[in-house]
Amino acid sequence: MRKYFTFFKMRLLAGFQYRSAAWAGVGTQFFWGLMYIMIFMAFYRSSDGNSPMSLTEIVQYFWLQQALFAFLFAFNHDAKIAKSIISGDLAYELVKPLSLYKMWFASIFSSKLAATILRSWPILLISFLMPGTYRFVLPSSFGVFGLFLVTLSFALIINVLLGMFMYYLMFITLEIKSTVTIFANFSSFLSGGLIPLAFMPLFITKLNYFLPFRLGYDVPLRVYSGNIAGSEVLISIGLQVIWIIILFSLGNLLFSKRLKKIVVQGG
Amino acid sequence: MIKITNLSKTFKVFKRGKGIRRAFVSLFKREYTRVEALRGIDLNVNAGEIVGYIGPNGAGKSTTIKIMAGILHPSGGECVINGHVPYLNRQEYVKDIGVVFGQRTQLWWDVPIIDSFELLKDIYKIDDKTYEDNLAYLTEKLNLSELIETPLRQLSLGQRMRCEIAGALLHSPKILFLDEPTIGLDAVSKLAVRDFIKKLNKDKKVTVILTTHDMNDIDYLTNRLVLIGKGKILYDGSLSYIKKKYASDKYLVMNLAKMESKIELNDLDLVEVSDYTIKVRLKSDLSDLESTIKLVNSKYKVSDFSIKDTSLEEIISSLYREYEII
Repeated sequence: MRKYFTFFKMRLLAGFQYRSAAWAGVGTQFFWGLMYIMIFMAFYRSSDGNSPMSLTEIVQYFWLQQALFAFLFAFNHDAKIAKSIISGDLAYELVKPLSLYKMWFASIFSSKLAATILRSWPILLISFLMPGTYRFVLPSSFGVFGLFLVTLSFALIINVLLGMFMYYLMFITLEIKSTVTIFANFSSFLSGGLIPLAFMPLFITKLNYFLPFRLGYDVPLRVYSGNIAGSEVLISIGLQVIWIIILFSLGNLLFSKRLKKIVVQGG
Repeated sequence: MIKITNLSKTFKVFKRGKGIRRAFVSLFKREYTRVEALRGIDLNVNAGEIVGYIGPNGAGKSTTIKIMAGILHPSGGECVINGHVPYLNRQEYVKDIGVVFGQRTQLWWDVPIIDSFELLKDIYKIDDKTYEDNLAYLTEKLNLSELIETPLRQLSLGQRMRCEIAGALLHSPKILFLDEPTIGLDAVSKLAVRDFIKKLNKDKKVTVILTTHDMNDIDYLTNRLVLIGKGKILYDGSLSYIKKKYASDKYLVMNLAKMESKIELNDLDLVEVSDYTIKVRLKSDLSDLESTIKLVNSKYKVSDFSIKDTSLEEIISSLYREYEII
C-alpha cells in the first residue's frame, strides 16, 4: 500500500514543478466552462422550456466538469507511460518486483488525483463567486453530496481502467497521437464529454446502458446537479462496481498476454 | 549463479518492398521475416564474477541481457539464474537483480533524485536500515552528495549515469546487469563508473554482467571475455589470451619535423602515412628498430618517435574479422 502512496506523492511533487502549466490549465478550464454555460443559456432562451436538464443543473454540470477535468476524461493520457511504451523505457518497469498493470494503474490514478487536487479548487472557488445563474452552488443535501463522492470515486477508477486499454492499444500500434485521438473521440462521445448524455437521442442512451463510459463521467455530474436521484443512483453505483471488476480483470489479462510478446529494441 | 543452455530468440520483423504498389498491398497482407537474434547460447557464470560481454552492434548482446533480466521471453532453451527462471517468475526474481541500461533512464525526470530513490525504496520494500546503509555507501563511492537533491533533467550525462547506477543498487541486488553503462560518457565519468564497479564487486561480491563497446572497460574490470556474433557465442575465455594471440605486432610511430608531401619508403612495412607522421610495423623482437629509424632519418627529419602495441580496439576488430561477424 505504501508504494502506491509514494506514487501519489511523486505525482504531486512533479505537478508542483510546473506551476505555470497548472495555472494555464486553470485558466483554460475556467473559460471552457464559461463558454459552455453561455452556449447552453442561449440555447435555453430560444427553446420551449421542455429540456431534459434544467438550466441550474446544466450550470452545475459544466463547472464540475471543468474543475474535475483531469479526473473525468479517460483519454487524458500519461505522457511518461505512453513514451515508455514507444521508446522501450518500460524495460525498466519490467525489472521491478511489481505487476506492470497494477503499477501503471496506481501511477495513473495518482497523477489524475494529484492534477485534480492542484487544479480544481481555483475553478470551484471562482465559480462559487459568479453572479446570478452562473453561480456554482452546493448540492441540495449532505446525502446527495455523499452519493456524489461515492460515484465520483468509482468514476475515477473506471476512467483509469478504461485508459489502460488505450495503453494496451499503444503496445500494438506503437503510436501515441493517433491512438489517443481515436480513443478520445470514441470515449468522450459515449461518456457525455461532448454533449451531456441527457441531450442524446434515445438509441444512444439505450446503447449506453450496456457500456461503461457514462459511469466514469456522466453519472457523478448528474448526481451532484440533482438530475438523477434515489434508486437510479443506487443502480448506477452497482453498475460501477460490476464494471470495475470486469474492466480490471480484462485489462489485467490482456496485459499479461501482451507482455509475453513484447519486443524491446535497441540499446 | 547463472546457467544458460541453448538459449534462442527469434523476432518477427515487418517487411515491405519499395514503391506505392507494395505499400498498398501491405495494408492488407503483411509480410514478415524472421530474425534470429540468438541461436543457441550457452553461458555459465559463478557468483562474484565479472563478465565482459562484447560483440558488434546487432549481435544479440542486449537481447541476452533482456532475457536474463526477465523482460523478454526466449523462443527456446533454458535460463536459470539465482534459482529462478527470470521470465517465468519475474516479480520474485527481480528482487535480487539490478539493471542499468546505458541508453535509458529509470529515474523520474522532473523530481530530485532523492525522491526517485525513495520511490524505489518503497517499490522494493527496502527496510530503513538497509536503505540508509546502501544510500550512504553509494553516495560516498559514486560521489553523489551534491547531486541527489537536483532534478534529473538538470544533470549531465555522466552525473545521470552515476545516479542510475546508484538507483539500481539500493536494494542490494546479488547480480548487476550493465548494458553499455559507459556509452557517451567523458573520460573522467568513465573512470568513475569503472572504478565503482570494481569496488562494488570487491566489497559486496556482486556478480556483474557488463556489455560495452569500450574495450578498456573490460580490460580494467575483468579477465573473462565473452564474445557474441550473429547470435552465437564465439569465444568465452580470458582477455589476456586474446591479447597475446592478436597483439604480437609492435609499431614505430615517427613524427616528422616538417610536412612531407611525398614519402617513399618502399622497404618498410608502412601502416599509416600522413603529412607529419609515419607508422611502421616492426618485427616483434624489435631487431629492426635501429635500422628503421636510421633509414627514415636519412631521408626525412624525424623530430620524435615512440613504440606502440596493438591497441585493444584493433585486437577486437581483428577478432571480429576473423569470426566474420562484421
